[in-house]
Amino acid sequence: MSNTSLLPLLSSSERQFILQGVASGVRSDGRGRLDARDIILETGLLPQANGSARVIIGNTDILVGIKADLGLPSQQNPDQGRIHCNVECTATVTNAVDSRDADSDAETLGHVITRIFVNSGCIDLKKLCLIPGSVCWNFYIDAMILGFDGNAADAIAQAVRAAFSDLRIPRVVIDTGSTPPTVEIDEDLRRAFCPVDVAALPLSMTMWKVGMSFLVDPTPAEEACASGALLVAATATGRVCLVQTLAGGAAQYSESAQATALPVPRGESTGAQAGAPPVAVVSAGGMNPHSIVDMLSTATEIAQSVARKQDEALRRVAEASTRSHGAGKSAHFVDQSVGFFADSFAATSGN
Amino acid sequence: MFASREFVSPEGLRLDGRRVNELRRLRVRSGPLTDADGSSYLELGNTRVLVAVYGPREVSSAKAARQTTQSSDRATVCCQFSMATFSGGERRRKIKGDRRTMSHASALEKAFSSTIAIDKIPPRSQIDIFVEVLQSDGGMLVACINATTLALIDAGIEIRDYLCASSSALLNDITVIDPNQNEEQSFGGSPTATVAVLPVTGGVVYLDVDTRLHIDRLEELVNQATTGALTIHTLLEKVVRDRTQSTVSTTSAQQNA
Repeated sequence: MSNTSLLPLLSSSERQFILQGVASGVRSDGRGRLDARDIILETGLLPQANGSARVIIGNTDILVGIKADLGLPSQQNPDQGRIHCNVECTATVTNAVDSRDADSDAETLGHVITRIFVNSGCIDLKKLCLIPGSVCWNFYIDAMILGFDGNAADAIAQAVRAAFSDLRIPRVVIDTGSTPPTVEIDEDLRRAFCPVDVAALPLSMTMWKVGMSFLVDPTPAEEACASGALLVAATATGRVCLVQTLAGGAAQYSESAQATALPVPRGESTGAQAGAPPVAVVSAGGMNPHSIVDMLSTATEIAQSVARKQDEALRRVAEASTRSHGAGKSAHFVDQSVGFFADSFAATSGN
Repeated sequence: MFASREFVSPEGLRLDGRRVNELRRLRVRSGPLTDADGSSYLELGNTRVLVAVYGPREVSSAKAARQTTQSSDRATVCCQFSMATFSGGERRRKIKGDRRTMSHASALEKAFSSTIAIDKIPPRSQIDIFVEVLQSDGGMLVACINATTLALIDAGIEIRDYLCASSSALLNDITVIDPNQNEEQSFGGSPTATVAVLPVTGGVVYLDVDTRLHIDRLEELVNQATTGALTIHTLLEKVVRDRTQSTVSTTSAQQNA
């Protein structure tokens, strides 16, 4: 189960309280089962990274930086660029727990992010290859969990998608005349561009099974009560890119048999692109197959709407930054102003 | 090699447009993290750090337990220092416990052990300082020390005085204050002094000069860094005063309501 090391220990009465609340449709913070918390988004925080974003959901606080450099393509795919995803917990989050447990949880989340953004085929890796077999772009996506208050996977996916919208890489000039061909980087950052179609990137929505019903965007206490979780990644157009269980109950429920029989909501094609690998249900620990189908369609719908909302927010960020020349880019899904700089103080001193 | 005039123009301006005795822009926020007992975020130019403070609390780490058995009449300060993988110019893989990380952590531990009013803290307890460098562009330790002071104040841990730090570097023959990474690494590592002082009670808590340097130049270098640290003290004090004032006014407004 993901984030095991970060979850609180609950007494049986606390557990009972949460389970009964969820069963009657009211959660301990007053939300309904399918109500997500407000999301706060900031982009362009790290000038030394090629793209960066911070997402805050409750007290869950995720900072993502994307760095790009030129490197060697892999031997298996010499005509493709490479994307490396890495998630880590900061000491502020793990201070109470064994850091090795937290590291392995972070690694699991890193794999999930790789599957959502890289393995889903939503990013055209061939466009990131400059000279097949010798030079390609390497993207390093590093997510830092600065605060944990439930729902880390979805928050990281949000932050990574926003960081991609902020991503700028320099243009390169490829001299094919010389042998071997050489690559020259255009240092003029005004000509830098975003190589990724952000609108086509998916967002994830995880459905957590608590008691007999499922809910989205859990708090740590609700995560601790969950008997299973299904992560669904979908694009704004409703294409499903990944379905994976995060939290597993006791049993690994028949894997491949369910995967082939799984209907895709509203007859839309699976996989982000034609020819992309089909959706794989990794495992369905302890969940009824019927509830999985339910969860899948609901999650897809929510992921779709959140992706659209984020696109709109990112558009607002872009507009604001062109007006203010990039100073303090930030936009919020809600009218609420929180950020590193919200009550910051600026001073220069010259004596 | 570069000539010194490339770092400081004849008009006395540096490559980033500052004068020789000018600090970079300082932006701070205290209490950005809600989970920690105290926290702060600080920007010194492009250097950005995030600090969280926990404690005083029960001894949990093995290191603190060892120190507690050695000196059972006092509290222990523990510091963890880490740099984000995207903090530098090149991406670097995170290595736990590499030499640079350890030396920064121990420098912070020592400096703050003598800044925190340790005799007023319950003995056999532990104060944890977690420092995360989000971006480094020179003056990393300077930013960490200033941010930690703010985080300790935010946590309400009693300190004897503000611990304020600054640095200075000698570029050929010119002393510049608060060098950025470019200036720190010029001439294959120019002499840089990092100084942390207790401005009101007086006293230097941390001093670090690397690279060979003629003794005649040392005083000027340290003096410049100290001047910078004193300037930072006035800035930090204003932040703390403003924050306290706004907290007090909101609390009293709530009480009146």
